[in-house]
Amino acid sequence: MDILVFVKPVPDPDKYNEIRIDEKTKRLIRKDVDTIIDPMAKNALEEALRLREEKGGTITAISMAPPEAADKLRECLAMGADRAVLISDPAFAGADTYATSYVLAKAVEYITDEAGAKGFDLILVGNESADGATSHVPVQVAEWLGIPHAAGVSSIEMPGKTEITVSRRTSAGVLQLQGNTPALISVVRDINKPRHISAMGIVKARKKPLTLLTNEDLKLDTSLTGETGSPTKAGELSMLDMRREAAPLTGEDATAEDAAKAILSIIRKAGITE
Amino acid sequence: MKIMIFDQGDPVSRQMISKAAEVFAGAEHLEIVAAETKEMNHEIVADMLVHAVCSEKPEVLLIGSTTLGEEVSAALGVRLKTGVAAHCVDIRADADGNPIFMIPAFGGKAIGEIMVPGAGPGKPAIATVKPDVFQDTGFTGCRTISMEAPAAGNEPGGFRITDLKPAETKAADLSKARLILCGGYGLGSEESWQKLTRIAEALGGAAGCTRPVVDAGWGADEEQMIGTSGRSVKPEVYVGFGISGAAHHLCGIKDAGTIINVNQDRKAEAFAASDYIGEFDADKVLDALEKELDL
Repeated sequence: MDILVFVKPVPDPDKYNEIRIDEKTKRLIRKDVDTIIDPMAKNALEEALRLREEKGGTITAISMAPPEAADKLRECLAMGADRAVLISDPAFAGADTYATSYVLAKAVEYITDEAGAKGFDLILVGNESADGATSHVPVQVAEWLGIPHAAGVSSIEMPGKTEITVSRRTSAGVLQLQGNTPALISVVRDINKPRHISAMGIVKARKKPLTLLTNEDLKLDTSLTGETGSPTKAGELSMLDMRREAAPLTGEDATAEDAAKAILSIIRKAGITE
Repeated sequence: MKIMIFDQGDPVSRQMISKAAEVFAGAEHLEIVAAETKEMNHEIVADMLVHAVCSEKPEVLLIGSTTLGEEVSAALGVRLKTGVAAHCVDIRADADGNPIFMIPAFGGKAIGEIMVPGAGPGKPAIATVKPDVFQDTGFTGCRTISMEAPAAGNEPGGFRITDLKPAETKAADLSKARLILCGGYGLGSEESWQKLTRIAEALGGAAGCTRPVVDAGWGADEEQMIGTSGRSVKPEVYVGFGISGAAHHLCGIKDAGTIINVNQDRKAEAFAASDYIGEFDADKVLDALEKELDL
């Protein structure tokens, strides 16, 4: 079984409190905020590794990002992917979900045609990225490719070669859905626990292929890519100010008992409980 | 201005209708159409909505931000070749009456404006709307159309729902709670989380938590998670115990009445976003609360 996994490099979600906006340019100052592989993309890769252990085949990690994202793809190779493809071109920058998914879909067609192989069986993607969190790119790639999609998936079972059973948690309960390959599935965090990278994995990763694709390879009409090809336009970005007074709950030298009494007094004053 | 609402018969549908009526009140020939269905298969719903958009030709399409809503709206973006704004928390109209959608980014730490300049009749600007951010004002001046299911043999391919296990709602409803006690990873143990749950129940409130608590496997339910990827809540009083204060959690509580945080880490980011702060071991304060309440 051949699986493609989309991987997005994102600013480390644990550091979002450090992100500021430049008052003049209205752009984000991301300095000092490390880039990591999006956490849910790691879940997608882990699921691909699990399925490959069960059924054999290959895993290709694909990322559309600036050139420096190559080291994130090396991490994917170290985790166990067989090969990696970095799609990078200034003409693809500043894209919204629509233009991003268009390039990703075209790259998938290019990669699978070039391989001269039978294409792919599954595309696995993290359901939503930590930074934008729209959850739209995976579904839109599937739409461009004309293959079925299932979003928000927390378990995947493939009893045979082509049948897929997935489950999805919704406010109504847990849904079970059935479909067939080829398909795109976007997964959520509770599907698995991504493995750690081993020293052996890092050594092996050095010999695995990492290919760069630019628009010289894909030859896409640039009016359909990047910022130009995006039907949505971004306006002003502002930071939410959530600061409050932060008054001490108790006086100095107070005990945990005093704190408990102060909390109960506030709750009682609000008339919530007696 | 013609606006279509995808009406799943849930509260967010009513909230979107009310918001649309308010935001576009000044528009010429304002018409709001609720396109209704109880269908849950996303491929079928996407087909139905494409059909409804092609016949009604709205300029704006609002869809509730449920799992179904997000999947369907993304698909419609490609099928109708138009822009989609995700998880909208506010809608405004610009000087020409065109919509500006306000959407959260970086876990809600930043809010960005999204416009869809190429939108027009039959090629609507699409936005998904988070539940409970808009008020249902009881607006009734909207036309409802029932979307028809495709005829047998004409159904789209793709994934189909084969089973539904109703959710076990063991947690008190966070969205309606007047009091929320919320646990963070700083609680340190399953025992401490259970204590917090008991106290919340005794006080007639609900217990909520952060992502690390769900991941720690202390018995907290995904449904109890508060934050950008979980629930947004508006209790009158929120008391956080051992909450570090990641941006995506704080954004989920920003509309709470009074925010209290107890944490022994004086550097906790949650403190700056609180009305009252207590620098104590969260577990010890929970013990004291149990004693006060005779639990």
